[in-house]
Amino acid sequence: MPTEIILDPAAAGARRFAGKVAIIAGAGQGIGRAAARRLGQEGAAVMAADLIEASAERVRNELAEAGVRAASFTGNLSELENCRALMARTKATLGRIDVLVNVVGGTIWTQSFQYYTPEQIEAEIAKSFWPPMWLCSAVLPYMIEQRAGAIVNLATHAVASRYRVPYAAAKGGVIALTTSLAKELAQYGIRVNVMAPHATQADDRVTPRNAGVALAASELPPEERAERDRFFGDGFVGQRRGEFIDLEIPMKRFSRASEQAAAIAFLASDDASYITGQVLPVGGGATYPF
Amino acid sequence: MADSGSERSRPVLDARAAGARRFRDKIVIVAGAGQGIGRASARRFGEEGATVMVADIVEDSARKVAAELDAAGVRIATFVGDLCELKDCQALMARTKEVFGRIDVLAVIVGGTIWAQPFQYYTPEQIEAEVRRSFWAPMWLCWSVLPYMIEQRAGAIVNLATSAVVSRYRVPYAAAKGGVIALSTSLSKEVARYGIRVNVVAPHGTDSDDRVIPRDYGVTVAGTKLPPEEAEERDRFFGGKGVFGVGESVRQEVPMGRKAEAAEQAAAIAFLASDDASYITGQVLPVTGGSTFPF
Repeated sequence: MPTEIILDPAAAGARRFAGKVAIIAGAGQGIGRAAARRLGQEGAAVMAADLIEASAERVRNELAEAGVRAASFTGNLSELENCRALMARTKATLGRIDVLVNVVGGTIWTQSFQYYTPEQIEAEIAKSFWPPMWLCSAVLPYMIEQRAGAIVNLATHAVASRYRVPYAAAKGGVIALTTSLAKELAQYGIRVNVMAPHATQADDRVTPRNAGVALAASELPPEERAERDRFFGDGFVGQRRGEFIDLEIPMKRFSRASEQAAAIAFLASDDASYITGQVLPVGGGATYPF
Repeated sequence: MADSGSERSRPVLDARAAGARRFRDKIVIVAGAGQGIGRASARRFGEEGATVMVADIVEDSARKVAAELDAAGVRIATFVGDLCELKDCQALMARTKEVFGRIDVLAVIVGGTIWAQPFQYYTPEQIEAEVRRSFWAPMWLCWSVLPYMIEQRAGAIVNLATSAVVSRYRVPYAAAKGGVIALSTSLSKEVARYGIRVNVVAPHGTDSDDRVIPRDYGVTVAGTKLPPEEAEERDRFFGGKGVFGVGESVRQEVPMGRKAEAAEQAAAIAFLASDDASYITGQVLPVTGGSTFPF
């Protein structure tokens, strides 16, 4: 055994994913990277998939250094053909697909709905709605054939917040995708659940929210911008403390990415063998409307 | 796994833990630990390194569970009392503090429907007995543990709800558990500032092959004689006479088409009680084989 490298001490020695193969879609940073580390820590073989090759490689390497069997895939997972290629590659290199974690997504802009252009709205939906839809569609043939599998999609507390209506709508769709798909797939031994994070610190964020998006940002009136910046701290969730922390979160702090990863690992593991079609909010006590 | 021999010569209480020791050095009270989900929770906490206070209304049940944990090397104590009574709840907390020095986790399993019949057949006395068991136990247990957890500025509480909140034949029990959900969600907002988390696991029908204590244990209220056709319909729903088997309830409500194992409920309870849920409070986690939960 290699490793005195501990990827995630929260695992507390658990090896719930020994012998399992897990795909982390959007593994390059933040919650995705934390999920890759947690599942790797617990014994999974990990396919680290990301839009950004350098990010995917970095995570693959840090897992491999800790003795985890790891591979990487680079592609735009808003496109069905890339999702299919990811599944085929995983099957070819790691032999099967036990777990699919869909972390791809995240709001690109933050502004009141009337300031979104139609093109911006389409870009938000392309980034946060279509990857889980295509990834679920692409993985199903493998999991149905195996008669086993666990899928974890990500939603968000932004479904009950402000300044991110298109992203919220996309994630509302992801919730319904999950809850209804769960009813269909229970007969095949496949579970599908949703983890809904609130604001999460991603100190390792290097890829900007608008990576690969060619659209211009909207010009906001100064008072609109000022109000939004008070809400978020600096216009984007997760960087500097804003009003919304005190308004929405009883714990009054950001979460760590590893806290989101712990919930993802729970839902993906056999610890959740009787749980499917559910939404698990990881929101510091914020009320979740679904 | 690099288990160094000696550690693993003990009996395995719950293989699902897969080697995890999330509760090492933690003091855990399992209220209603004598059988079923409570016993499975005590085993899971013990497997993961907890010191366990085994509390139950039935002395034999508490002793039996304590003995099996003890045989696996778990540090334990027992408490026997009626946890529907505030004074017994307070005594449980005081005893735990005295014996173990602190209270990190409170898992409240006490509760469960006593009868199963349409609402109009419940007598007022039966309704009061249902609410006493399934509503007041979590209420008094939460209230009794708070001074300790607030002083510690740390703690995790897990209450139990039920899928019966959207089912049939158990309206008083359902109402009690709806109250437990609101107790948990609103209490969580108040105690977040003290580092205390409060969550709910909502099970659907769960196998408890180890059930020896009848549902009406300690209840002096008489049951209702149902009209034969009413009793038959009820028994079809639950899949057995006076027991909860695999009946229409499971076929209609549970996409997985089976009942849960008690260990599957315990796994969710352990998750919410552990630091893995450190950013989760005030939430309801349905463990229901895919059935939809309305809260």
